[in-house]
Amino acid sequence: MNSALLKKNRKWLILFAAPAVIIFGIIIIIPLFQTFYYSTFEWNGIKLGEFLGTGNYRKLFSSREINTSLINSIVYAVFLVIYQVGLGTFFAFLLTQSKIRGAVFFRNVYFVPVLLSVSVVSQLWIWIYNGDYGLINQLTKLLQIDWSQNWLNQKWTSLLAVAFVESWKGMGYIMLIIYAGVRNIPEVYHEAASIDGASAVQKFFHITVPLAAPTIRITVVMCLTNGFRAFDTTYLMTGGGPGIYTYNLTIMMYQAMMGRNDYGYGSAIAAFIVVICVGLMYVINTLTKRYDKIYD
Amino acid sequence: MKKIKRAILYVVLIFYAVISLYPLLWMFLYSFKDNNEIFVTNPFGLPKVWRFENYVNAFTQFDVLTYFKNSMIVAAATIFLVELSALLFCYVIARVKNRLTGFLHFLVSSGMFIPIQAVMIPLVITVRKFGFTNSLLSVIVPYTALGLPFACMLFYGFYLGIPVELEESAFMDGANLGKIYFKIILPQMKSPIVVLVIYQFMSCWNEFNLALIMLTKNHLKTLPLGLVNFWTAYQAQWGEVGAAMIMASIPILVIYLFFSNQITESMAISGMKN
Repeated sequence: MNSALLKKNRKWLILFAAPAVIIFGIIIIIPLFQTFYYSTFEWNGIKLGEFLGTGNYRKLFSSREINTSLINSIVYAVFLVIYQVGLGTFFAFLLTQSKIRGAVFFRNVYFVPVLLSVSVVSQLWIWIYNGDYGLINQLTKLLQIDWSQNWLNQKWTSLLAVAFVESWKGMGYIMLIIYAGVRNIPEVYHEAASIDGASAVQKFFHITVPLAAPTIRITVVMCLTNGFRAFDTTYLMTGGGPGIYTYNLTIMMYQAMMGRNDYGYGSAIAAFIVVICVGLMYVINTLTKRYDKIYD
Repeated sequence: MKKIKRAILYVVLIFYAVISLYPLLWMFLYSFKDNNEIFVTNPFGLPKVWRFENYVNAFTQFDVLTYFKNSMIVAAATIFLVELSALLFCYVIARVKNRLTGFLHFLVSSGMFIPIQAVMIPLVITVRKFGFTNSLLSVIVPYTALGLPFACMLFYGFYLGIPVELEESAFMDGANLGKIYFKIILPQMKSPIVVLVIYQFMSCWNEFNLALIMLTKNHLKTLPLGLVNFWTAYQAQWGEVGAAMIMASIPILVIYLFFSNQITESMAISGMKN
């Protein structure tokens, strides 16, 4: 826009930009700094107490739950990537093949769990996993396999069971993103390759896969960071239990806030989650940077 | 050989379709059964008697209308506020190029990567301080702010695609920016506006974490929170809880039935923009 017009309409421009800037500043920017600031204090949410420096962080890293929480978060995040990106990529590639009939139907069906409320999904699966009358145990009984167990009440099965539910709920969304990424590959590449005599398999590995790679990378980052900030499903299905077997950082933070009113400690956990999420994204982007250059 | 391969592919596709839908079907069926049928006599089949009383009981004991109303208010208000503030803000950063707008653009876009936990504690404290705990605004305003990064990425690209000449000739005729924006620019933004409505609806309709911490009063709870109340109180009555969960899911499933292609396409765009 030319500068005379800008000057004349300065008031309008400020008026246009102001609401978003104010809301974003008050709700995101200031609290973000506050989180880091408060994490260095003893704080009960009402009166700011003693300055602790790194005290809350030291408390976090020497706490009883930190090892379990970190391992759980890693397992959870990796599980999400394997299930959602793995299956998502598989189905996305499959459904974009022109030979598959009913591709839109399958795409839409796989998306249904994404629509459901997390509390519906959690309760539904609590009963699917139920030790006495759950769907899984009833099915195994029907098939006469002695496999019944109390899925949500044991050490590893509980964590994997919850991770499975979150993956089940979100797979359709991840698949959809990859599906759109594959569909966006310009047809000319395939045509050019066909003219050069490339086979379907060659085209798949030399055109589809590399050109879909940036999209897949995005979904990997999404799944990994989701794994570290996931709260809802774990909170609803196990609340971190049995014992602390399904604890993770967000549950620790919730406990610090609502259970102990220890807001300084809670802020330290929150700051740690931010560092992990931003760090992960940075690491993945750096590691995969060279691929961008090849296909840009 | 080719035929067998294709058959296997379809079996795999159908198998996962069953995994996606069967749990829902199972829930639908048990919402019409009593515990005896669910647990012992008939866990899988159609209900022997369709017990509609489960729905009547759930409806009378579970305040579904209040929760539903709250969720609708939250979603509608958030959608309106995000659309309005992001549309206007993005117009400015797309049309005016200087250091300040560049910085604001960067600032809002990087909000995309910030997990909700990062701002949760200060927000709770602020909301308490200003006495918003008794109001749905305590989630509407944060949802609006959290929705801005994605909205901006979406709109920014579209604005760049609208030729500046249109506005400039209108300026020559002496119209002011407010008038020009709403008469000339806004009508061209229809498709991203629809995409954002769908995306924003999906994300605040299902939001749980912030709502759990902000909305502690029962009459303010949104549907996901209300459901949790109900199922912890009626843990032993599977039929009634199933009925409540079906009632809570039906609106969005019906909407999806009619608009599935629009919804999946909008959500796919949302991923591409990430």
